[in-house]
Amino acid sequence: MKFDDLQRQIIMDHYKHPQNKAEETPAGYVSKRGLNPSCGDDVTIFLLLEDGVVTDLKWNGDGCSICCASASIMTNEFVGQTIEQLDEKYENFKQMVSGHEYDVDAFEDAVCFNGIKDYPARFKCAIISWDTAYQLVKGDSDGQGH
Amino acid sequence: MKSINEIKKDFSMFTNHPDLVYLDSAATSLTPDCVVDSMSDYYKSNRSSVHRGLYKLAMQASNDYEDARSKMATYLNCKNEEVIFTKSTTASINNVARSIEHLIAQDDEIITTELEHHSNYLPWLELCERTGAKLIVIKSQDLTIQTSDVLAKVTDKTKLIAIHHVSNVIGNTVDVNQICEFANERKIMTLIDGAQAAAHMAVDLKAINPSFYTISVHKLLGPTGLGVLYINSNVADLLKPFDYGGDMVTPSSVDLDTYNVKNPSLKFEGGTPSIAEVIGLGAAIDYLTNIGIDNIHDHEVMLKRYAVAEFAKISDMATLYNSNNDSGLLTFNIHNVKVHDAVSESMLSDVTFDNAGIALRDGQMCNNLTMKYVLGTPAVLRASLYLYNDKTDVDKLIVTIKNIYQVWN
Repeated sequence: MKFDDLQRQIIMDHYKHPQNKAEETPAGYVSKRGLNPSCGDDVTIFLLLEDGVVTDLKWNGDGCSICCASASIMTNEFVGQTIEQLDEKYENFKQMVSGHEYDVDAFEDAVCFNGIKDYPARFKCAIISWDTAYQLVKGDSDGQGH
Repeated sequence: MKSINEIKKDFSMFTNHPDLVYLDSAATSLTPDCVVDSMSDYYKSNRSSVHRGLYKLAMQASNDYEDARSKMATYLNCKNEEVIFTKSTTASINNVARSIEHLIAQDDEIITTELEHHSNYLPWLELCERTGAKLIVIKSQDLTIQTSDVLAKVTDKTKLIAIHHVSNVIGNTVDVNQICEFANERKIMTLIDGAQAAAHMAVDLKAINPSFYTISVHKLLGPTGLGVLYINSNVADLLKPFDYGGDMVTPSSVDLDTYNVKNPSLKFEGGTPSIAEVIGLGAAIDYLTNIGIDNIHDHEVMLKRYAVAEFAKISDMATLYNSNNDSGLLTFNIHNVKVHDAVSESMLSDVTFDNAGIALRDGQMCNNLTMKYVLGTPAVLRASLYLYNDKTDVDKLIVTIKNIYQVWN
């Protein structure tokens, strides 16, 4: 299988079988909703942050294949990271999807989205869950689960 | 009616994009060259202001501007002074909401519906917030608004009924004649959102007799940046002007603490108006009238019914939500395909409407209430038919739906 095909397969797998989903905010988690006004992508991120480390991250929502796959992959990329590490990883992801230089070794499956730079109309789909999760990590939440 | 091929020759968009299948006229229509030419002529040969100078160029511009108002009034069967030019339907409705605010008191009621475009919902929500009035939202039944449901909600506190003529997602037609008659008997104001109606069917405002009727010029072959707001002469005097300044007052009447506003239409058109766009609207009305709005309506009905029959053949692949009406709207979803994936390519698929040369709309259509409470889906695809579409456009739509379905299933 060619590298591009493999990346497509990974994205499609995350879209069809999304990981780390939760219906509602688990107790002790904080949440934040992100909306893409142009097409209806709608994701909510649930975060458990302990001592500056992302202990767990889940998501819920609906959107296109790119949005949902990116959210699923993002949750895996965020868990176990410190806030400082996420400053770097989030910036690196933005660099990658907008077609700028980035550190390829910074990612696991997220590197599959390097091709999105050729589809600028889909940039927001790829990044909405990352934007929302990063804002949440930085303390901008909609509320806490009970 | 002229053949579709002849009509297409009137639109340079089809010369520049010969294979374009334009199915997004409900968002904005294409513009015939005669409209562009009329605006170009104004800029090249007759550029001057209106309602001000007495030199020949200015007089000509004023005449052309007022001619367009007269053509619009004839098209709608109303008086010239009841035709107000604004910048859009959204602006028209917001202007009305502000200009009637002094007539709305705490605990008054404004009736609207769950099928409204955000432009005919949020201004009323905000007006209620500002005044303490209550917004009554009528639920739909069988994908339309039942007249009896509206009338049943009218109380002695009802001040305004704001409702669509044709909805922008479902395409259902409301019996606005009956609603306005009922409201007029009780001195209740009515605002009819005609953005999806006036370009597709004959609208007789003398017969409907609403307080306000809104029209989106760029949806009826006219230029962007212009709306038409009908204000019934029997309510005009009750309203506050939209904007205060030049052109809306009698100049010599302005003193340190007094002024007199002009007659109704000019009272609501403060500032230098969109002169070129209004002249373009005049040309658009000429074009529509020449083809015949009834012919256009019949053509759309024929195409819609053809499309409904074609959709029925692929009901295992796509759901057409609004087969129950004859509007030119085809609101649908492809099974197991997200709307964004159907329209816009990515590394996962290049089989899309866009790549097939089909322009159509995806998302919520500025109407999230219909998505959430009526269709129960986060988003839809909407193909909209107009005078330059034919059966081959519908055929290409259906083939592309099949192709997209195959990729994702």
